[in-house]
Amino acid sequence: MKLVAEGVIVEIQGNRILSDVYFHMEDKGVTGLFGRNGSGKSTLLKALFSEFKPQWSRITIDGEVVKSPYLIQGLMKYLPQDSFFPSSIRCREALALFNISHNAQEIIQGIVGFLNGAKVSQLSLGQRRSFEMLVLLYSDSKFVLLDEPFTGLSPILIEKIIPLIKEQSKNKGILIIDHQWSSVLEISDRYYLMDRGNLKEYLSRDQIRESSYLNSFKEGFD
Amino acid sequence: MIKIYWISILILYKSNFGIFLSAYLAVFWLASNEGESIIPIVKIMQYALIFTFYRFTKRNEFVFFKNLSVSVNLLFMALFSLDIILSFIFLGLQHSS
Repeated sequence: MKLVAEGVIVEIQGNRILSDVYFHMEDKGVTGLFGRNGSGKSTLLKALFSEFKPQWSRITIDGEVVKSPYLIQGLMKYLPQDSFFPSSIRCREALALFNISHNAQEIIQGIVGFLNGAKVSQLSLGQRRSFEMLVLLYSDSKFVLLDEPFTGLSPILIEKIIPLIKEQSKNKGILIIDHQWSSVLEISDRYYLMDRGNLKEYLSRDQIRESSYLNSFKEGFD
Repeated sequence: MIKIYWISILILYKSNFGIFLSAYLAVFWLASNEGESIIPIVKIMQYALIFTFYRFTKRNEFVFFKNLSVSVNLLFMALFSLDIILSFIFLGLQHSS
């Protein structure tokens, strides 16, 4: 299954945020989307999920135009930058709503370490972030869009979650934006760089490392 | 007497949408029993529902429904329909008593 977004144009108050962007991803593997703050990465994710209506866009799944991808059952999930679960919902209710299997529930509980009866609002910031991310990763979906999933997570928690993202990418396409670029680079199979509303695809990890954005960070290169 | 219920509802509305809807029903029931006109209550409740959804958009909770593949437009329609149906039921009850 292939998701394609063509000609995505977003303008806010006369400022062009996305300029005729072309993006594609498969329903397998991890796609890393890099770029500076305000370059338009999150806007692209919102446009893909119909969270935001662009001035112009054409989203297709295997060549078929889709107006609101989120409405197709089991097609797409989206983790926004802020928490999205209602505060009053309990962890076990959230797991049931998203049809999380028993095995996956055990994995999530092992990583996040919550009590089943606890409300989502009772979790710490990092627990809540990882809980929301893992629920989406283990839900029935062909594409998962993660907007800064590692924000607020401890390095140990990130280390535990990265193999799970990689494992889940065997049967779903995962798109990640995060400023923890070394972690994203480590797990990505495909690479995009957003620069002032223009999207460029890079064919290899070395190519994107040499890009102007990542090249400006000296630390972390091995 | 109804004013006390209103204050209770406002407190509950601030904390939990589910409790808010239950309180909504309770006030209708109490108003019917006390023989007060519920038309102003219906109107205010409809405004309260609009504000509830405004809070949802502010709090990113529309994404929750979208992640469950629930149409936000349908959700609006369902809740407003529920609101109107409840209004008619309680108006009917009030007239019959």
